[in-house]
Amino acid sequence: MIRVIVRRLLQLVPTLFGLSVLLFFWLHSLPGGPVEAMLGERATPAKRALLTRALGYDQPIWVQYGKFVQRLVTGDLGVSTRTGDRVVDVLGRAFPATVELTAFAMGFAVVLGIPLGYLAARHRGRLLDQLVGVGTLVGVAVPVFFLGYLLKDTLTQRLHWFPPSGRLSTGLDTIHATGFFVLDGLLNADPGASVDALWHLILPGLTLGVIPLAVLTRITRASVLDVLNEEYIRTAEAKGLRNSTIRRRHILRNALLPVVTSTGLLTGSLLAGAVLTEKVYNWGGLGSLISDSITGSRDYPVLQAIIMLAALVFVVINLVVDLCYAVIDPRVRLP
Amino acid sequence: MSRWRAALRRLSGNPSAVVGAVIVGGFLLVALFAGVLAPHSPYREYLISEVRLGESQIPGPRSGFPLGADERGRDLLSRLIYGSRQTLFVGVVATLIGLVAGVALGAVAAGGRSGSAGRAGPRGWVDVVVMRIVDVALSLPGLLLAISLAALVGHASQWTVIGAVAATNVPVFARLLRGCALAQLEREHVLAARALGVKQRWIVLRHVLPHALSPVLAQATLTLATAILDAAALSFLGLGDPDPARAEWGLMLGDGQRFFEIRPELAYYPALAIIVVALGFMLLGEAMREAIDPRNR
Amino acid sequence: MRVQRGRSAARVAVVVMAVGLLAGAAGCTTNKKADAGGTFVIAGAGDPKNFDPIFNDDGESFRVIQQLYDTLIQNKPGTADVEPGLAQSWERDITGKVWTFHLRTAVKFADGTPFNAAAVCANFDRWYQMKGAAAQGNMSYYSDLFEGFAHNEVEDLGDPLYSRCAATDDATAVLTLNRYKGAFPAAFTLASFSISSPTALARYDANKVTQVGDAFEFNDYANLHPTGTGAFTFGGWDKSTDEITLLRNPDFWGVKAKVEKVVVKVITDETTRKQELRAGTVDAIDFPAPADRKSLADAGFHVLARPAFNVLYLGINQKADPKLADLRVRQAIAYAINRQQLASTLGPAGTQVAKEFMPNTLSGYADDVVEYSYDPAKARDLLARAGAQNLALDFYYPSGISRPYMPSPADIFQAIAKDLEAVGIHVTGVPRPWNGGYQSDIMRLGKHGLHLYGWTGDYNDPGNFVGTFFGRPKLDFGDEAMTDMFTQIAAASSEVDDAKKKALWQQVNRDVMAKYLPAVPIWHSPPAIVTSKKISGLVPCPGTDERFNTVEKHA
Repeated sequence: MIRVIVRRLLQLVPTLFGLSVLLFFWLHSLPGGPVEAMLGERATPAKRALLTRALGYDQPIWVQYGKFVQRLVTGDLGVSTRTGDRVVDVLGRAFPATVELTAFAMGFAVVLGIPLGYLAARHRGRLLDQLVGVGTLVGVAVPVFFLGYLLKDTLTQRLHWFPPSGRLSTGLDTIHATGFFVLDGLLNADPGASVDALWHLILPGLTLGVIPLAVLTRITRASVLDVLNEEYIRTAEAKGLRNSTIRRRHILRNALLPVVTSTGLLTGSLLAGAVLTEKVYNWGGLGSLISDSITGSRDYPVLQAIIMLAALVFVVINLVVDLCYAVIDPRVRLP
Repeated sequence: MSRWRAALRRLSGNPSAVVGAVIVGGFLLVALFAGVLAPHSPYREYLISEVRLGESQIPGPRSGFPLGADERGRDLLSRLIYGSRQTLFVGVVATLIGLVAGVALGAVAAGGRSGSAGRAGPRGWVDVVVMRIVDVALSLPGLLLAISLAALVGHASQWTVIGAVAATNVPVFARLLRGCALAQLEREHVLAARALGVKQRWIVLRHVLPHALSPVLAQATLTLATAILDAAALSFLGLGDPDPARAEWGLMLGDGQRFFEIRPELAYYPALAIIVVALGFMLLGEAMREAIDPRNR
Repeated sequence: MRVQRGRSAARVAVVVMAVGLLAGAAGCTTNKKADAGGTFVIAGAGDPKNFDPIFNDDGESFRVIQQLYDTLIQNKPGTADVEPGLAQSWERDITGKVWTFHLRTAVKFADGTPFNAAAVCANFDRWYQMKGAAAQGNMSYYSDLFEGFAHNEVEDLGDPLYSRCAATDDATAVLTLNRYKGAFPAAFTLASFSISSPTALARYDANKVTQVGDAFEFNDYANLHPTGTGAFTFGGWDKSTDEITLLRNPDFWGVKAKVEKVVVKVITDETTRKQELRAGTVDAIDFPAPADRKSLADAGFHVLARPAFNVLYLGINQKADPKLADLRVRQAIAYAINRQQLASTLGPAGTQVAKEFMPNTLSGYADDVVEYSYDPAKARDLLARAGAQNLALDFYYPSGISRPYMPSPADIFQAIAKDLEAVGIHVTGVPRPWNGGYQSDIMRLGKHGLHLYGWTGDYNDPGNFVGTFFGRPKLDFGDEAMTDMFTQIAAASSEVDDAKKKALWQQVNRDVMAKYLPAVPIWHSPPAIVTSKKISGLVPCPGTDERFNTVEKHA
């Protein structure tokens, strides 16, 4: 098992390196860029020459690449063209924000979705099942950003139940120890801050969680149905075990396997939804970074770093899912 | 062919399948007959003289223009109707490209994997390589891949969106086809054909593809739904076609959100259209998948 | 049992969430910190770069810098006229090269260092002697006005305008330039030329600017310890929540701030900014979309329109098609566009069609220029006479951006394209991202036929508008043949006598509109700043240089 993990992680290094090379050359071949962005309407040949010299763009691409690699191997991911902060710091701040949001959304989906899917399967064909069926499809069909705007408009503008955006109320003086604001509040013995962070988390979390909720419900339902059809359940029923015992012991345990796999994959798709949700709610996490870096500022150092981080995260998630799979079902052998 | 008839029977008995089919059918009809159904041209700025953005004024519903106009004075109803065409175009092309490429890829992988009598063929490594790439691509959520691809291309256009969405669908179809192909290739009559020396290509065409058709079709229906949604998301992020005159629902939704306060209909109607059509394709696709797969009955 | 644990865990989670909901609902009212004068929260659209004035040229950074620092001369609030700033009075000699500033006394920087002539000269000397391409490359306004440094890092820079600065006594600073420039004294109002504390500059390594890959890293002075004489002092930039806090300066030399704190909150999404304003979590937003102004005003918000100090124009690239070199063709384009309808359809209330390339608040504005009223028939006639009935042009416009003079480029493009098509000019729209090729395609490569562009004025001088556009040959307009125009503008820019200067600029404007017409001016659009009902005292300024010391927040 350890060998598999180590091997997988080692395979990661050349992948990331190759990715960074690709990204470097690709991004530097695109039109526009930092010089244009910095000068705007006030560009003059002199200023353009100054910035070109200052950013090293007058040197051959190989020299620039060499410097880039030099920085990369020392762990220096560069500086954001948008804010002037070190990219590592920018990512370090954005990462916990997205994790908090994703965890909340996933938690919401799991807590609500699995029981709902189970109930729908148990009451197969009846009203609840029909409603769940349609409801989950609608949930997947509604574009995330539209849902976000809709919820924002109703719940924050017309009814002021929730704050429209951000992770904390303005002017709240807090120390961000871990970057997970709910946790930070508790660490600082400031429960008010925790509650404030939680209050800000609810609407974006729900918005992001709708699709995983729908998917999880459907998968749970399908998986439970599968298991219900299996031979051994009928055998157990024939043996005369009490219904509730059957339910607890066999159905859920066996139905959970595909659910677990899906949860892993879902977490990946959550990050996609996070890009849209974070933009709508001005969340300041990786999703916001991605959408801000693309539109307008073209913050290439940050974009580069995020893409590499995404690759890393997905490999790790894949690995974790495979490991869980192997743990749950001993028949599975890991490649 | 009786399999088809049986599947169809199952489908027609399923209420959600019927609803889905009605929606999809309606959508296709509207797209086909947009020219006849739409009261006006979707591009002419009929009511431009009444648009006063500075005074938050966008013309509302009136005779001749049942849904009112958008921020350029164009007829909203006509744009919605013609929008079905553009939206269908984007969805269909993206799905089609993904399908063709994915099916080809999956067939190549399966062909490489199975040699004679079930043992790994001489080109088994092809299968391993292709499926590894497919696995990685599948682990990346479609939308994120689409966003990355669209962002990395210098400038946005409709084809950027189509290309990015298509690229995210290729692995799905590849894996699907490979699964079907492998299952078929192990069948008795196929093994017999191979033992008789029939060429691999011929086998694939006559035996594999027809059986793969139904699951691929079901998947394609579902993919169409997500293609439409992904395209709308890309437009929202500013990665879509920046030509503002084009009548396409995703574009109209993204644009319409700017005026949410003065004329929310500009966002609501395209959103509703997208939701209903995506729903329709999903209902149909899910039902098709269930009808084909004997296990779930 | 695993399942049972899952069940109770789920129950606990639900309870926690419910409690959180209730507590949060209650908490939202108790979280506001109670200050004596209150906290004024304004939402900005982007992150500032840093807070050393000389290294900045964008509105987001200036919004903060203008509260922390002062300039020698400043604009009278609400106007583009100059008034005393840190200098109570000033005069220049007959050549216009020697400027004497009589400074205020008893003024201190935020770190206690006394403000005096030595401090002023220390600042000017520092800028002149700045070394390194990274530092010089970030001094955009300095390069524009002073043209060169003690040691130019690239040959494209010119001979420096700055000669020396002498502190004849504590309250008198004498600035000597190598030649006269018409931009002064108005250019001394630029926020870039704010005066920093020399002590803090030295202490926090203010000249250190390093290039890291595709961006620059600044120093502790610019990021953490900006020190000026302004009505507010720097309270920190919390990057996790993207909030910049400014604190009231009780020792300010002018009207002391009425609020206790100012928080600039960065919210990149326009709709979200608007929603925060409506929800009451921010007190003011800048540059609302024209379509939102009325609904905000109707809802009771104060929509404060700034007098327009900008211009939007349609650039014509004479190199794109030989016919465009013919004045009649360019005039035809001007006649073809229904600028009045454009302004009333797309512009915010108060948008005016532009008669020339600068707003009428500038001295040198000419009322009697040739006016191109909407006349498609005349346009077609002119095109026919020039033999240009079948023009086909690429019309470039920016995507993914909104500028104060150009709120929605795509809409403007559509309107103009429609007008041009109506007179027989075939137009192909080419959108390019603002930072992803638009500017390089137009300014460096000249690929376009027509393009949308504009300018927000920096200071009260015609050279800042007309001189910037047409003072030298540019690929934007393909106008290198127009040497007469360049000479005329150069003469106006270097005229020392005020009366003659005004007359020369008026003639320039007349000739640009009648004889040269390298582009077509479209409109002057008044950008707005919107505050909630609780806020009063904010004076909207044409130069977008609002100071928040007069802002009051009521309960």
